Amino acid sequence: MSLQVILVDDDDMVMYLHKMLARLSGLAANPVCFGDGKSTLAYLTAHHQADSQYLVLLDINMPEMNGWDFLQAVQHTRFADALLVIMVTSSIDEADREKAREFRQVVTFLEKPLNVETCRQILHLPELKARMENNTNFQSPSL
Amino acid sequence: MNESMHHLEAGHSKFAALYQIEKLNQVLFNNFPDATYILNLEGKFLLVNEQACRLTGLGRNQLLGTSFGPLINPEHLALTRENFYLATQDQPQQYETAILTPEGLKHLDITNFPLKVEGRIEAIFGIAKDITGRKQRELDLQKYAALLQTRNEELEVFRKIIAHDMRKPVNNAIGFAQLLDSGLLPAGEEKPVLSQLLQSALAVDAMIRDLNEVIALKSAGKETKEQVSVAESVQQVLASFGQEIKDLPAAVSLDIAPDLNLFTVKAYFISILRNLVSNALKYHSRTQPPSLQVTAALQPDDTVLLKVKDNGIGMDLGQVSGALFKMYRRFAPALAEGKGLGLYLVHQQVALLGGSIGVVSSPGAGTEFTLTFPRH
Repeated sequence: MSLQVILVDDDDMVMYLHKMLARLSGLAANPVCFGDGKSTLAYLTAHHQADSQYLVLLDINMPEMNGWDFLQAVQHTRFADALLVIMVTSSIDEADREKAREFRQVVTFLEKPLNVETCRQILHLPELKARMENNTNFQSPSL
Repeated sequence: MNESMHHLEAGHSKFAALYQIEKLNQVLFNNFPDATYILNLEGKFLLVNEQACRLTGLGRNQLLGTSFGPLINPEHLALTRENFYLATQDQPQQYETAILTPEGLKHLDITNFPLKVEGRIEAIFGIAKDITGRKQRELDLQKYAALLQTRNEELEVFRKIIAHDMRKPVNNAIGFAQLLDSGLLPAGEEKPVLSQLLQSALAVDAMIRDLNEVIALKSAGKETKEQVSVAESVQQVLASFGQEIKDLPAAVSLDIAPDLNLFTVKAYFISILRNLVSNALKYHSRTQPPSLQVTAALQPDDTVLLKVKDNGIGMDLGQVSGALFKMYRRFAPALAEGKGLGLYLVHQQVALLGGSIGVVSSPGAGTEFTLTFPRH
């Protein structure tokens, strides 16, 4: 069993920052990164294995397939239950929170910019901890 | 008339009553505060009161015997004739029209109804209320309402740009600064983060400049025009993109007569060129050597035709449709960090210069902008 961290954002700078934060906070040494929902979906479809688990940091506004479309699209896939999703947005509004309730994969919302502290807090999310109980491949210096 | 007279007969002779009523009618008719008149069935004035003369600015002798047609503002004539005709068909009418007078256009509220003698329609009675003041206020209000709506829509777009687009690089800058501040970065890794921080700050700066330029355009219109050399302007703009052209590298070809001049607002013309060249370089081809072609020529109708053509990634015009020149539209966000204001600015400036702009493009096949400017 492995838990893989996937970063999804269309902004190169955000990606650069989040990659670095993931590493420095101990969230993930080598996260997988995608610029839109479509390529994330394609990756999961091609690489998913029965015992894999994923933590997706998902941007909402993206070209091709935005965050909501991505969530819609994963509902009937074989990896629907293997995903934990954290929505990462520039501004959290109530309508988004409401919408997120439709998707059981969504654990929480985080506002940009992320920082080392918020990334460390991700590691302490109960949903994530539960999944990591049996996870030997997921290593984090802060745990 | 006959019926009402029966009631008045008690105590009076029929003649006296008739005389009194006639007298009253005449006084009333002449001193009625609105213009009153009687037209024959051909539309010629048979009777007019004082106010009708004042309203039209014509004497009684000029009005009597002439048709109402020449008084009417041409664009209201068809409707006015139609209403007059209906009144002659025993259908009383109330409508708005306008007349041309020595004092200018006057808006009128007209009532027309048939005058019958022994059941036969013999003439048309009319009352014309001067509603010019009200009408003018109505038109002004409509104009202001439309203006307000446009302004509100623009404000909403500005709000969105600030809430979403501007927020992005600001957030990035905060993120990078926090990262530097955390002290967690190994010394060797600080440099690239600093450079990202600088890029984010520059992106905010570019957006503020663009927004300011858009707002400045709104209050423009009084800029002075001057003779501007097309070739020199293009050279000037290309020179400012020198580094990018060298880095790509992009093959640039020009075909502009050296003596081709435009009498125009130089700042707008340069800004238009800068935005188009910037787009051509930004959305350059990823599969073949980028090229940029700028041509300008004088047309037989004394306009200047300017073309800016690239072999870049192009766009699906069917998909972008009418939105291309609108504020805040980005079509290739994954490829280049556009602000979406460039083409809006171009469109506004071309319009302010009395020109027009068109585009031909398809995905992978490059983009060609065609602009036409009046030479003077």
